[in-house]
Amino acid sequence: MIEFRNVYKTYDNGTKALRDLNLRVNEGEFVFIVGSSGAGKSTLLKILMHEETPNSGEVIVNNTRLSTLSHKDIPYYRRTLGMVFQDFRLIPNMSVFDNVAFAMRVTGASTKAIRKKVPYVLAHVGLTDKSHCLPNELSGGEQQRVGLARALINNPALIIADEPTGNVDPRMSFEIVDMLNQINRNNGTTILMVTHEHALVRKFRRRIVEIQNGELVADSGPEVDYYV
Amino acid sequence: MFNNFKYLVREGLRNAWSNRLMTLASVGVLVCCLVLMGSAVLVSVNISHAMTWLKGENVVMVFLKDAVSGSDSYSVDDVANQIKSVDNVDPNNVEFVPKEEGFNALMSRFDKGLEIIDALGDTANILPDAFRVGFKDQSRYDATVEQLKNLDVVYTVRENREYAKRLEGIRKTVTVVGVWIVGLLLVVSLFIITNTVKLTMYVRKLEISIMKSVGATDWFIRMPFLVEGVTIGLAAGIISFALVAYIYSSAASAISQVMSAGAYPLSAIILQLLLAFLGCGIASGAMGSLVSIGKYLKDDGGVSGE
Repeated sequence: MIEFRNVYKTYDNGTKALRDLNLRVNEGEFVFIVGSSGAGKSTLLKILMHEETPNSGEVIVNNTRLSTLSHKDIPYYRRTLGMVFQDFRLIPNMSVFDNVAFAMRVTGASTKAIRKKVPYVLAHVGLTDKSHCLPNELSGGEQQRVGLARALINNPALIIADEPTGNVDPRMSFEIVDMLNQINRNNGTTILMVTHEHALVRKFRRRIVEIQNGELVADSGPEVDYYV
Repeated sequence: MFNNFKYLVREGLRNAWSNRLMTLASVGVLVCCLVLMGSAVLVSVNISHAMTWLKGENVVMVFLKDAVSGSDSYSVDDVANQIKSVDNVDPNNVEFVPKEEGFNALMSRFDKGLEIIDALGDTANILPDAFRVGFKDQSRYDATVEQLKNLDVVYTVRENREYAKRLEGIRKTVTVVGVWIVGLLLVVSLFIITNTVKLTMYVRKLEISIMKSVGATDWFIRMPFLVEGVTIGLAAGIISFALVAYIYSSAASAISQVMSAGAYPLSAIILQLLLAFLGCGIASGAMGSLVSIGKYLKDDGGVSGE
């Protein structure tokens, strides 16, 4: 599913973000990526989103070598991923429905398909009655559920969550990770979640990968139980 | 795809409306530039019009030798052809003026002493036959006059060198100044639009990064901004056209009172003017949008907004 082979990344200002990173995540796994600030977690996610490219090494996602992608291919590659961000990244002047529908529109989906699928996904994250609200009328937890609905709408095989509980109260944090957990178990969607919250990591007992100073320092190992 | 097109056009219009203050500012700037540019072009058109009129007026009188006009064997057509064959003479602007006509025209300038002339009878007319001749290129005025004087049949050429030189000077200045003004305004207006759209773009950086993160293609991201730019350009084009047409029609009557050439008639250029304003407006709006968004699209980053 995901493979990092001897990946190095040094930024133009000299910061060494990743050093000889090797990581393999199998299809259907749920992986927590932990590490202190500046450890290289965000760089790892940016490389997966093809926002940054490694200086050397190879990254393979769903049998695609990211180094072979052209500028034109990138949008189509990104459609195969679902992304959830710490700051939700919802379009402020669009309703909840439109924010979720937007990710479908981008793929050229018909209005009919959008009208059918968006309410279904919103119901899945418990936001049916908020569908006409604007993002600023929702709580942090609700906004993140909209972000989750948007990530799910195109049935991605991989969801990348960058500290999704960072701006959410503890009770909602649990609910959000629980939702991701359910999605992983029910749909077999691979999930990569960067987090600082050790309590959540301990609670959900999934694979843990720790990065420090750009190197992989600990890995609880592949989740044999959840292989699909 | 049509679904998407409709959606993107609607989005562009919605964006223009929800950022109406910025839209209004952009339209205002563009209107100012277009009005200035349109005015410069109209002034230039009017000077050219006056020049054409003056050129028509600026003819030399070629007087024939007495020996020629007095002889029975001479033919007006032969002489006309000789004059027309001179390089730079406008063949469509060579007109025969018989001595009687020339004499009458001269006499009409006097209102006293005509009795003496009348008393002299036919012998009073001392003027020779003449041709009224126009030139193609005023800058070769001197050489052409010289060539005409060298013709055997020609007695003298009545000319107005200073007048011709001044005309040529004005024409050159108007052309140079006009090109510079229009060029400068074009650069300034494009700069202002690009910056205005860049400002909008900055405000909507988040939106663009979200679009990228969900896999929007460059075209999908560009389209609403393009629609917005074109809408701004279209509105500015219509407003500037109305303004310039109104000002011009008011000014035209004033010009006619001062200049005998009169103003270039608005009805003759109204369609071209409308198309030029709409074209310039739309092109500036579209170009402003595309130039500003280009930078954001070239970069694959910015998705997570850090």
